[in-house]
Amino acid sequence: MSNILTIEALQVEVAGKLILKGVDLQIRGGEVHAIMGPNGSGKSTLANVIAGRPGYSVSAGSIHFKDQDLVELDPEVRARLGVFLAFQHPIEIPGVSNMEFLKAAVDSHCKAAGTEPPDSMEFIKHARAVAATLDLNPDFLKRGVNEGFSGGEKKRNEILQMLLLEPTLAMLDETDSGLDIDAMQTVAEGINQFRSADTAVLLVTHYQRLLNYVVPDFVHVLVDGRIVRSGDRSLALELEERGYGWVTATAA
Amino acid sequence: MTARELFLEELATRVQTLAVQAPALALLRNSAELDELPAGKLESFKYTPIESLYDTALADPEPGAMDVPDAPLRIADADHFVVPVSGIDIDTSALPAGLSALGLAESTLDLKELNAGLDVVRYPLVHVNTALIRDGLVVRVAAGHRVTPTLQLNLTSAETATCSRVVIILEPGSELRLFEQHHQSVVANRVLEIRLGADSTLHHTRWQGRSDCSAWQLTSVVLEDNACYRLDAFSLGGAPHRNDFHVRLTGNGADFELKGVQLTRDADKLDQQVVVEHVGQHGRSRQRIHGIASGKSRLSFNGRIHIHPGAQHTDARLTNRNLQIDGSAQINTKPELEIYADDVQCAHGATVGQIDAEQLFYLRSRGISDAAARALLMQGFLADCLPDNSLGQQIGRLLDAELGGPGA
Ligand SMILES: Nc1ncnc2c1ncn2[C@@H]1O[C@H](COP(=O)(O)OP(=O)(O)OP(=O)(O)O)[C@@H](O)[C@H]1O
Ligand SMILES: [Mg+2]
Repeated sequence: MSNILTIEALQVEVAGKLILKGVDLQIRGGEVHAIMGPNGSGKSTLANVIAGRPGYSVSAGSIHFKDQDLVELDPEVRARLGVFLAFQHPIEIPGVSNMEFLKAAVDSHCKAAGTEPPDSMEFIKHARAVAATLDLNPDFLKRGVNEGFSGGEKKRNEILQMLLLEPTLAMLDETDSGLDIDAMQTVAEGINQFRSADTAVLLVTHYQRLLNYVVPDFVHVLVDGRIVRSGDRSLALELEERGYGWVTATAA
Repeated sequence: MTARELFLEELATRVQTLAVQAPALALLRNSAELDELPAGKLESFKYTPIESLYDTALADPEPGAMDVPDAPLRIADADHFVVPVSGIDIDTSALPAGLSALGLAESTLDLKELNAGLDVVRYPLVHVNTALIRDGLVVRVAAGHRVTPTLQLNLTSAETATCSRVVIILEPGSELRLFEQHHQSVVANRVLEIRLGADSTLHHTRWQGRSDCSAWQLTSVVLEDNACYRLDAFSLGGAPHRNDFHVRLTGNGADFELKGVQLTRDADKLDQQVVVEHVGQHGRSRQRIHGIASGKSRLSFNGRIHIHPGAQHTDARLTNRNLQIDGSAQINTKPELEIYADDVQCAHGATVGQIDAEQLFYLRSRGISDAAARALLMQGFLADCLPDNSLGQQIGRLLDAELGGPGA
């Protein structure tokens, strides 16, 4: 299976400060990679720079999505190519209804693909059905985007967007944080439903618990802007037991 | 000769012409206190210098200018009726029960007192309006009548030429819906006076589209005991547009609610002034005005709340939020409070901000183009100010088109 994401020697600056200091990462179709690491180590920076957040500048190295160089592309172009980021802190947009937002997002994908956008009524039906699988009450579709949603509801709304947009690469930044046990299972089912030979998942998480439900092929440990260790699922278990001090000590 | 002198001279000629064309109101026109037109600067006209009026011609429109395109907003035929603002050729058989509409000259109003309730010091352009009155409209809703269909006033150049005067009187316990729609291709100077008797309710929607001709209007409203005034006001700029709303809650327990949208783009200029005076006790006022300015436009808002001595238990609130779409648009907002009673609640806030970068990235990260994302955010910003009815939906669509959204 060919690479969906290829990152080489990536250095990223935010606000003039070097945050990622040389990251290499390859994700192939069908794979789930988990990124773990201490607070402030650069996990969100990595996910955001792949999504194209303004202000995150690539000072060295490269990011390829399939064969396409992403670095110069606008975030909306990356999204339409199939890159999706579930935000660590989803943004509230009062006044814009969730449904209107979802429809605009899906329509933009259709337009880019040259396909007919879904009929409004059909889309509403589909969105409600997907929301139901995430235990998200259809009323959330009428409310302002994430407006007044609880932490867990916001995270489920991110997964709803992922399932509706059907990306190729889904990056989930701490989507498990703030979820109760049942919600974590529901979200994990959503992610598993998304997994296929043609898609790839990058999971940023602090807890190995999610990895019981979404079993990763690889676990990487990011410390101070570098991947200091990679392994399989057992690495997450070991981390949970021994903490990050152990990796930094052995890496040094 | 100064611009003012030239203007006064032109006015005098026009008054003479009108004396022949429309003799019925000659006395009223001659009573206009044109000396009161200021020669210098006026604080209340800081952003729309009153001198600029003196440079604009006030001649009657050319015949071609009278052809106005169809009004953009429609109320279902069965639900509304139209009365000509000119007060001429009113089809009285089409008026709903309890409502009368007459030309100014035919009405029972004491014309000598016509300007008595207007703040001509703050808004001296009333004098120009008086001097150029050709005719006017007086609408009266009889006590206790609730008029269901909406009264539509088309303030088009075809209806009103340059000046118009409309007086709307709600007698005690009556109710009316009013839809005021502007669509003009000549310079306009208008005065709309509204008198709300005790326990009456007026729902007023005002739509003023973009226009290349400047427009000046005073909307002056008085509320008696427990009267209720709901105003939804939408103003797009254009050539300098100036809207003064002067709302006096003279009775006890009166209630005023304003939701407003103000939009400017390109080289538009829009200056809106709302003065709310609480005179009676237990009055309540709520104002929410959201504005968006882009291009090189200038958007000015002044919201003044004046609580008179004795207006105890007043509860007055004003929120004005503005979005500046690019750095060259100018937004001036100035809330003013004057409070002379001690047992009152009063809150006001005015902000000028930019499109939120986080929100913008969130939308773009879902594939929505930068332009469409901005339009969505602007629509969302205005959502709180749209009435929840079919007119509100139509207005929403017009605003979306104005903002370049997906609906455009
Ligand atoms: N916009 C910014 N301006 C300045 N510094 C920033 C900005 N964004 C991120 N940083 C800094 O970059 C570093 C990495 O942040 P990042 O959010 O990627 O960490 P993280 O690994 O996701 O942490 P956490 O586990 O707490 O979510 C931090 O020191 C952070 O303060
Ligand atoms: Mg993070």
